Amino acid sequence: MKKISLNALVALFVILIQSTIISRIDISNLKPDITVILIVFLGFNVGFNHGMILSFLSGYLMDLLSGSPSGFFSLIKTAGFLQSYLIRRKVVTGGSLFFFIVVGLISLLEGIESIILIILLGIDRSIVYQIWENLISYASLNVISAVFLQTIIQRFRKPSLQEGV
Amino acid sequence: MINFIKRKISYVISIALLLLSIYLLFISIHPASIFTGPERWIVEFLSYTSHGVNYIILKSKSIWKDYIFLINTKKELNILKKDLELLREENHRLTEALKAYQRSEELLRFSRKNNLPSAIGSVIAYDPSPWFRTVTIDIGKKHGIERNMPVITHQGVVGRVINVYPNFSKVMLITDVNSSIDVLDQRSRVRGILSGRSDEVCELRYIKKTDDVKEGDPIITSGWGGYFPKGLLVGWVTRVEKTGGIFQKIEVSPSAQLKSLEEVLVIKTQPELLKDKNYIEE
Repeated sequence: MKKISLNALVALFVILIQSTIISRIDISNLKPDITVILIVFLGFNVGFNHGMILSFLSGYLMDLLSGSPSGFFSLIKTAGFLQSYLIRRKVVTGGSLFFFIVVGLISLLEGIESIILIILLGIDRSIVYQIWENLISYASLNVISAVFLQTIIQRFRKPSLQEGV
Repeated sequence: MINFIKRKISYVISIALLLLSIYLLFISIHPASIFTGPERWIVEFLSYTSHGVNYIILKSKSIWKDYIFLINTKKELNILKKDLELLREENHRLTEALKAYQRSEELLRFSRKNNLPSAIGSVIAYDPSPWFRTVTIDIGKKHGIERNMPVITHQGVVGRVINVYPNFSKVMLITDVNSSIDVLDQRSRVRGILSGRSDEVCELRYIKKTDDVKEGDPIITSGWGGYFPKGLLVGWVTRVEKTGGIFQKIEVSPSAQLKSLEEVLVIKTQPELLKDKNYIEE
């Protein structure tokens, strides 16, 4: 129960940051999506059940605050976690570069999944071209954001004893 | 059975969550079932928290502008300059308050002039997703807001209310892909449908090649859609292309500053009552 509450709080925090601070960023009509970075991070660092619940929660909260149909991002984020978890399990290499590549890859896959869902749900097709045109820029922006976030985290993280040695 | 579930818990969780997502997608197709019970409370809670975070951001911006950014300069200043800083800070606060007042006054004047019952709301959160365009405002059912009410600023149309909670409302911007408004070219009176593209601009659709639409033409609401009163400025034609097909490709830039919305005006009139009424243009 404690773990689930903590999961909910983390998801809530990320969504709040996304809808208040990140949403103010506008680069050529695009904004980074830190929930992608979150789900890839989960795929790399936490257990399967924990990560599934947290990614579903972040998608669900995103649905509530967004103009998307209910369940749209719940499905996309859960699938995103599954993909990053499977990639991590299949590929032995680790490291930051690999993490950034997976962020880019999951962003691309999320865009494609969005297109498929939009077509299936019968939402206006013009957004499909919009997503398709911006897919590479969106993925690149998320990778840059991941690099930026990692730089900030490393700057504030105290070096561990092992790193000192 | 229980032992089997325990052994396969990962599969059970993943299948359950994926099925739940698909179920949510299915129920979202039926508007009546959207946002009931616990979901309403979650959105209320999220909106309150967003409100708090937004307040902290604005305060931090003010602190950054007034103190941290000037810290090097402050070292060189004497006590008199500190006084000056205090006065500047006060002046800054007053200017901000005056600007907010002027914006509200402009909105109210607009509303009074056109005899529209309305309520002013502040934008507290933007759409977290990259593909949709909505904003959350700090007025809701308790303030008399209802679904489908038009939202405007003194510059033009912003969008319409799509979800209402006790203290907050979700507004779909005219640039959202799900938005469609019945509009008129004010100069030539040509009628079309303005649709969002989740982009900075909207698209004016179903305008025949023989119809007279030029760059720079103002686009206004026609009053036929049922949601918006007639004559509200929506935007300006920025591009006209007559290549292929029977319709022209026309881009319209919204007149309202949708990227930097602060205060908005919700017109508290039932959409049905707006039909055939020339509120604004007259």
